[in-house]
Amino acid sequence: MSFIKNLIFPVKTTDPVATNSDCTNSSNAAPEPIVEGLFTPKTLYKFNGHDDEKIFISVKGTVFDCSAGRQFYGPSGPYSNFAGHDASRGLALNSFDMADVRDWDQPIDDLKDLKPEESEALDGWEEHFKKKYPVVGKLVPEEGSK
Amino acid sequence: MSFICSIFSVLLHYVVLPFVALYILLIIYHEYLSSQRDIQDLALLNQSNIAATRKSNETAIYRNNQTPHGLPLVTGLAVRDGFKLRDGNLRDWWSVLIAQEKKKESPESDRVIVEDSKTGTMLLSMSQIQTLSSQLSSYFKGKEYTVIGSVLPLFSYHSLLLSLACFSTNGLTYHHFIDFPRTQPEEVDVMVCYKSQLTFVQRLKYKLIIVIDSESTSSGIVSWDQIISEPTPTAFEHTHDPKETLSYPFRQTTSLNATHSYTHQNFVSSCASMVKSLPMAHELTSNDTIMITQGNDLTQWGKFMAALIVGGKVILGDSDDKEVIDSWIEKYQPSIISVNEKYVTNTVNSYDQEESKKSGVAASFNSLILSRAIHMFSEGIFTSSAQQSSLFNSLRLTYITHHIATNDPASNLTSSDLTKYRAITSSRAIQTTSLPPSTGGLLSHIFQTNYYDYRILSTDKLRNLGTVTLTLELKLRAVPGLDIEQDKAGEVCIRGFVVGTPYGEKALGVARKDGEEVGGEGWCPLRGVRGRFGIDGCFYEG
Repeated sequence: MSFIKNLIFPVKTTDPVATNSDCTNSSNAAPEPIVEGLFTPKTLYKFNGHDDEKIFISVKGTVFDCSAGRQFYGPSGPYSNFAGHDASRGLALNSFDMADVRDWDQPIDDLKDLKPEESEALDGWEEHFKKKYPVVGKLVPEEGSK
Repeated sequence: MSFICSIFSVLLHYVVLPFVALYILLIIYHEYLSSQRDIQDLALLNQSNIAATRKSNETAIYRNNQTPHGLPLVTGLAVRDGFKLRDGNLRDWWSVLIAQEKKKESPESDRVIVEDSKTGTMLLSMSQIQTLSSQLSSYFKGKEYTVIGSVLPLFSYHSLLLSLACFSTNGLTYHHFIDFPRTQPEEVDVMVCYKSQLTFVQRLKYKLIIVIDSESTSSGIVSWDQIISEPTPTAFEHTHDPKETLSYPFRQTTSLNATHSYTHQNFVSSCASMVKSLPMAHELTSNDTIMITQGNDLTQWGKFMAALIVGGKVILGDSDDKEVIDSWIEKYQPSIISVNEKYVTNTVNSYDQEESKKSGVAASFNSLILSRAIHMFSEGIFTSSAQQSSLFNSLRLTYITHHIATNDPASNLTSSDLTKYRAITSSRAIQTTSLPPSTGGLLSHIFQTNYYDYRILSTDKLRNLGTVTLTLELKLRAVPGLDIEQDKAGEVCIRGFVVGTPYGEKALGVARKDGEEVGGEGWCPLRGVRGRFGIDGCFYEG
C-alpha cells in the first residue's frame, strides 16, 4: 500500500544546505559576498550604484561605503564617475572628469605627480570621507600586476 | 510482410500510443501543478536579502526580503504627522484603538477574552479595558508611584490591565517578574499579587502591596477592588511627545534573574512587523480572531497589538494542553492561533493514533487522501482536502512558537510533521523562533518561516527556522567547530528595533562589551545560538 501511495503521490523533498544540491549549482544562486577589507580596482568597480546598489569609493587607498550619498555618487548624480573607482586624483584636482579617474583595468594611481596644494586638498577630502562614510576596506593591486 | 506490418500495428496500438499518451498526461499534470503553486521554487530559493560584502570570520548581513539592504527596517507604526511619517508609540496605538471604538455603532463586548485560571473567562470590550486601565493609572499617578511590579502570568486578566495602564500613561513602568524576586528589586514601588503570594511578597519592602483576591486592607496593603471602585477618571487624551518613544513602559526579570527594559519603539516595531509580515490577500483584518495560548511569553505582544490595531479580536490563555486548546478552538472558532510545538506534535500523534485504530476501506481512503495532500504540499500547493475534523473549520493560520537552543523533546518537530499538521488542520503554519523565556531580551521572535513555504526537507537532522523578521538584521560569526567560509555556519548576532536594554549599569556594561566583540554598531551576539544559512537564505538549526 505504501509503495503504491509513493508511486501515485511521490513526495518531493529538498536539501537547501547540501553543497552539491541543484540550488547551489543553479545559475540563479546569489553571488558570494565579497570579504570586506581588500578590494582590487576590478572588484571595486562592481559597487558603482548601478551593477550593485552599494556605492564604494576609494580615496588614497581606503575604500568607503558611500551608499548613503547616493544622490551625489549614484547613477545620474553629479559625481557618479567616482562610484566604484579610485577617486583620489579627481578629488585632488577638484575634477569630475572621467580622464582623471582610472578605469578598473588600469594600475592603481600612485599620485606621485600631485602638487603640494593638490595633496593638501586630497587630505581634506580624505578627512571628509572618514567623518561621513564607513570604511569597508583597502584598495590593493590586482594579483600579478605591478 | 503483412506479418511484420501487423506486429508493428500491434506495437503502435498497445505500446507506443499508450506510452505517448501517458507521457503527454504527465507533462499536462506537471504544468497543472506548476500553475497551482502558491509560490514558485525560485522565490523559495531566494528568501533573504544578503549584503554584497562581509567581514572576515563573519557571514554577510542577512535581512528579510521585505526589508532589503538600502531600505530601513520596520521601525514603527508609520503614523502620519503632517508630511512626515513617525514611528509612533504605545499611546498612539492606544489612541487608534479608542478612535476605532468610537466609530462603531455597536461596539463588541468581547474584543479581548482572557481565559484566566484564577478569575475564569473574562470578556472585555475596549471601553471596559479603557476605563479599568485609566482607573489604575490615575490611582498610581495620584499616589506618585512610578514602577508597578507583579509576578502574575503576563497575559492574565490583572496583568494585562496593569500593562495597558502603564502603556497608556506617560511616566509609568510595569515590571513583570517571571519568578518571585529574592532580593529587593530596584525602583519597584508597588507589587501586585494574589492573597496566597502575600507571605512571599511581604518579605521585601514595597511602598504598596495590592492584593487581587482579598477585600481586607491594612497598612501598606490595599485590595484590587478598592482601586477599581474609585471614580472613573477623564477620557484618554494624547498629544505626541517625541521623548516618549524612547522611554521604558515595560521591564521584565526572567527566571535567570536577567532584567531588560523595553521602549515604546520596541513594542510598536514588533506590532508593525507582525502586521506587515503576512502576504497580500492574507493580511490581518478586522474579521480575524487571534488566540494566543502562551500566556507568559513576552514575544506574543506583537500579535496581541497587531490583532487589535487592525480591528480584530484576541483570546488570551495560558496552556499547552491539547484538550484545553481544542476546547478553546471549539468555543471561540479563532481564525489564527499561536501555539507551542507540543500542541502541534500532540495533534499529529493523536491523528495517527486515531487512524491506526481504523481498518477497512475507510482507513485506506483516508490514508490515500492524506498522501495526496502531502504530495500537493511538497509540490507547493495548499490543499484542504485532507482536513479531518470540523474543529478547524475557521482556522486559517497557526503560529508555532519554537524556542531556540532548548533541549525540549517536543521541539523535534520535523518538516514532515509540519506538512501533516497543515494537511489535517487545513491551516497554513508559520514557525516563529525566539529566545527561551528564561533568557529574555527580545520583544519579538528572531526568525519566521515563509507563509507559503511547505517544503519537506530530505533530512530530519536539520530544521528550517526561516528568515529574520522585518525589524531585525542578522549575521553569523565564526566559532570553533563550525565553518563560516564553506558552510556559512556560526553563532547568531542580531541588531534591530525589538532588542531590549539590559537593566542596570553592570548588565549594560557587559552587553556593550559583548557587542564590541562582534563589531559594535548595535550588534548583539546571542551566545549558544548556532546554526547555518542554506542556499535559500533560510537559517537552519541542527
